[in-house]
Amino acid sequence: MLYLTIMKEKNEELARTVRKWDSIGAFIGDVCARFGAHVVKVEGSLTRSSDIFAFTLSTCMWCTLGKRWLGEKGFAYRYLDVDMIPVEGKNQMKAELRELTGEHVRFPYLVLVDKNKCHSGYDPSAWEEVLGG
Amino acid sequence: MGKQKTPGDVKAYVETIARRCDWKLIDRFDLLDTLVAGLTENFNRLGYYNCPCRDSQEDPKLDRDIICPCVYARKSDVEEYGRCYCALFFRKDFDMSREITMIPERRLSSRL
Repeated sequence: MLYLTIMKEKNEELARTVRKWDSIGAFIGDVCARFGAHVVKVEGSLTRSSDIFAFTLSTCMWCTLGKRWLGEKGFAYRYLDVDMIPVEGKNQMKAELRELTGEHVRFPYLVLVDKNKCHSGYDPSAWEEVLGG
Repeated sequence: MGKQKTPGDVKAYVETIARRCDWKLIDRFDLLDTLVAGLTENFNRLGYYNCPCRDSQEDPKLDRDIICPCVYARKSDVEEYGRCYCALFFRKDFDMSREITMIPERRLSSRL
């Protein structure tokens, strides 16, 4: 049960540092300010597209498929491999994202910054709907 | 830092797991290579086989439920959905011609 105690303490400690954001755009702006060195920008062939930001893991097959899907569809996007950033900053960032969206963050986590929309996990038909709507 | 693993070492590891659990591995070699590369990266960075599709706390005590093969695969996912969260391991009778999609996450949302 020790790990549950550690987890509870970490979550309580985290709850004290979590900031509340008014919009997903402000949150993503803060993420880019804090972890900009790890944010990768991918060019796309589409002339009109939403401002797409993806939280991903560098080791994840679903994230690889998601990045490939966005590329094949011609979307420009930015992504952040969250496993590449330090644990404490990452936990705070994930807790703030969870607080903002009310969703469990699983990867890839797709954000349409300008439309204030999100989608948790890789699902091509849902992504098509979110990005097309 | 312990001994580093090669993708060949990790592939042998997942083959052993599949055999012992009476599962089969994903049959798309490009995706198998992606998953093996992810597990190799995690082992060499963290010292344990953290699930490549789930985020780590870089502490084996906190990540122990998602060390591959994860507890959710062993207890429920392979039996119920025919595959693990990563789609690395499959139930023997799973129809591999079906489209493979993500399954729901059983890990509690309160976990970091």
